[in-house]
Amino acid sequence: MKQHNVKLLFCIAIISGLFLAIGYVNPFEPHLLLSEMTLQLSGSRGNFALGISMPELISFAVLLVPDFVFETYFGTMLYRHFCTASIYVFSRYPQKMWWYSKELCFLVIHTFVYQIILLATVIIVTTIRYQLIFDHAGTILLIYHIFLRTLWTFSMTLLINIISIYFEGNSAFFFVVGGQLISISLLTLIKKHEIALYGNLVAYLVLGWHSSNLEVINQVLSPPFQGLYLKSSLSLNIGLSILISIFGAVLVKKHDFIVSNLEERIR
Amino acid sequence: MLLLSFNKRIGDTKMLYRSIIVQTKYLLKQKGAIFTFSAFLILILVNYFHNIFDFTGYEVIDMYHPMKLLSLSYNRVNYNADTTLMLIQLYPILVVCPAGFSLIKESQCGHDIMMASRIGYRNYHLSKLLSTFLTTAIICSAPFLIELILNCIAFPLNATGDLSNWGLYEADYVQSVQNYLFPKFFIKSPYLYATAGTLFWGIYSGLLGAFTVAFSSVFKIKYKILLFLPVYLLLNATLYIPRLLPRNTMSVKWYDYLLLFNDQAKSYWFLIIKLLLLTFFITISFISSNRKEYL
Repeated sequence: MKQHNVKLLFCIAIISGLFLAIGYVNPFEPHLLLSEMTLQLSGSRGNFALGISMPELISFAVLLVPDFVFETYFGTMLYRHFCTASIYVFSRYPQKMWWYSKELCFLVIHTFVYQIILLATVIIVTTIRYQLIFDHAGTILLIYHIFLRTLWTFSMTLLINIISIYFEGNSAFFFVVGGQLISISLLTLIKKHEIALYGNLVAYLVLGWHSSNLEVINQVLSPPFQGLYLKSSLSLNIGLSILISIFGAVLVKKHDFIVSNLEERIR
Repeated sequence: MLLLSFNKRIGDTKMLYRSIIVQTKYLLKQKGAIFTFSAFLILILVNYFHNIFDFTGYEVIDMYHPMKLLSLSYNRVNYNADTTLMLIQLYPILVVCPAGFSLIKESQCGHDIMMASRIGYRNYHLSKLLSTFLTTAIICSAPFLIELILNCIAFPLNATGDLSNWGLYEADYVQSVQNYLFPKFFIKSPYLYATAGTLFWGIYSGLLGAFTVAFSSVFKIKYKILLFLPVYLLLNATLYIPRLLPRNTMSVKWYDYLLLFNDQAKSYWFLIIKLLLLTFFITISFISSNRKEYL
């Protein structure tokens, strides 16, 4: 993990935040509520929730590009230890589970910090460009947004690593990111079958489609679909992260190292 | 002396030509190429059977033009955007798969040194770029050419309908046709237009594949996975830029130029500049790799 250029990654977070703030936060009036800004960062257009038309879903996929960059960058975090220096790493850490837990902690912290820097940049740029009004609902939605995106990015990054180790190759990125892009495309099925909403994990990232038990949040949300709740989406993402972490632990315990040392020569 | 140098040059060209053929054949048999071909094939088959089930029993007069039902047809979005959306989403990562990693893969296992010692580093690099271009172009265009033939067999060739349901003489339809790339060509022969458009899709894909190889030769990349990013970011940048531009300006989105029968306003200059920049980068990478050899 320490070998990853973390400074570069945080620069990417700042640049991504800048791009998101300029391209996606565009209110009709000179002032803007924090809740409106947060909703726009999860696909909404002004006060309207993300639609399921082709241009809007493509725009939503572009919104996820900073997360895909993170997933690509840290997609080799665990995998590289198995194909380059696993013997040296694991001889220093005879307890692989301890090593795995430490790596997971690093990944969670870095994903969280990445999201924080990205959003802080968006908020700073928006404050400079418009009059940003911090409202109570906005603060709660922003916290949900940070946690949902952190957990999702963490799960997907870990999944890329796990699949890479299992299949001893780096095609995992294609399957995981490709899977997310296919999921975004499949959101069009919601028009025909509303069940496609609950079965599609990407739908849980769209804050505008959610409802809440808190009245203050419901006032700023106008979901076109019923059945998605912020708390349950957060629980689902926590569950997903734990599940993938457990799978990873089992795999790391069983797997020693990748015999074909392909990545070594270009280090 | 002159004859010797001339003979050497002919020998070099023959070797280069043979190397391109051998490498293209090799790349076409690789997992990445087969996988990408299969992915595109599945996509076109889904679209084809969708069309078959949806339009069975249509009278010829009500039927849509067979070329406008293709997966590469943007006109299809007026009826159903599912497969088009899937294609637009997956293309930026699929286009790299057939041969984009070939150079980095060979440098990892030492294959590049062996090849360079046999045919020279310049020839090796040039043949790698050209074989990547050819492989990606073949893999990306072949499934869509198959679909084109299938549509010609399955649907009436004299059907003329547009999926926007505009009449052929309506002003809106005429205006939308004027926004196609090379509208006169479309009016003359929609079938040849679709074939040429599919081949252009292949050529553009080939350039993107060669761009990835060029990128991996210019920049030191630690892990193959990172090679997905240049093309992915390049294509997605064209989707992001319109958000900064005022409305009703011409499109810069990549799929507006690559998909057939697209009625968004376009700029020929933008397309030419984009193609020239890609070719320029690939050429620069080739020249810089030549320098590396002499150093």
